[in-house]
Amino acid sequence: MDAVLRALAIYAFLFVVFRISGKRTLAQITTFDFVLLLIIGEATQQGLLGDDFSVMNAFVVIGTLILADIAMSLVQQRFPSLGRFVEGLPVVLIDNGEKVEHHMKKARVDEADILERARQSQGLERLDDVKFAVLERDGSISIVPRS
Amino acid sequence: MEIGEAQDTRFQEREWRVQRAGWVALAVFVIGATLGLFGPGPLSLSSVASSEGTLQVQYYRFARLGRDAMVTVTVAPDVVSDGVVDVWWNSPYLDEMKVNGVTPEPETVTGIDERVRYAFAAHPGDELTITFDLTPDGMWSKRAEIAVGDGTERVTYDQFIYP
Repeated sequence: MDAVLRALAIYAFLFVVFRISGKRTLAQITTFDFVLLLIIGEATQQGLLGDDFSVMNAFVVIGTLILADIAMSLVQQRFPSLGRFVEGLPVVLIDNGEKVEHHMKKARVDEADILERARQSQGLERLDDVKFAVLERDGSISIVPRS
Repeated sequence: MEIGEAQDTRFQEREWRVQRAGWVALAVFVIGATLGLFGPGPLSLSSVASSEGTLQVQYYRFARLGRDAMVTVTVAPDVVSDGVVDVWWNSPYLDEMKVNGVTPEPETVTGIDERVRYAFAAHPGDELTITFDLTPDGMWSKRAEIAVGDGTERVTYDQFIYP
């Protein structure tokens, strides 16, 4: 029973922590963000498994985590307004060629990040070529080029 | 829209049905685990007593390989003779366990035939509670036989050990 409770508690904690850390961390924009996520995985393991290394414990913990995830997605489907608390909303960074400085600052995304994404996804050369740039809910930046 | 081979509505519908059934099975599994069906926990704690009630054993009906499953043996005062209480375990069961510790510490531990005898110093007139800290080293169905004193008062329990 405690394996189930432990898994749920850690799932809830990680959820809250990542939600408040913002979209940047999710998207692993810097090497450090990536390293952070890597070592968080290690730190979580001890809390999840405790000193029980049996196969059954692994099954119970994994089963509980997946079930919690499925339950979350079903709840969001049933109550769409809950979606914005769980996932957040997309943030417009460049609106019709104009930089939205306030949003960029709050979301901690700078021009270089947007340019990098513009080059990678659309092969654009300059910021002028970008019509819209949106920081999506999962932390990735989507680019709509100026045609 | 035609995407050829990749599109097969019947298969997709079947896949979704299987998925939903899987969710239900998963929920049943997790609820079972919460109820203590798959390992030691408050809900898999059981107790059994001997016919005269002089021996009471508290154990976990379900245990896991490599995870502590304590057994508590309570002996009534009238079994104490000469300040010593003997608690007998069947070897086939104890062999499959790692004995991490026994509280209180026994005076002697002797192997006799197919049994192990733990002798404890006891205060006459006092009930004695002994905790055996065991970690299963084997798997699947196991049967334990615990006796006290001269062996007439005995208790049996079945335990299932998950891998």
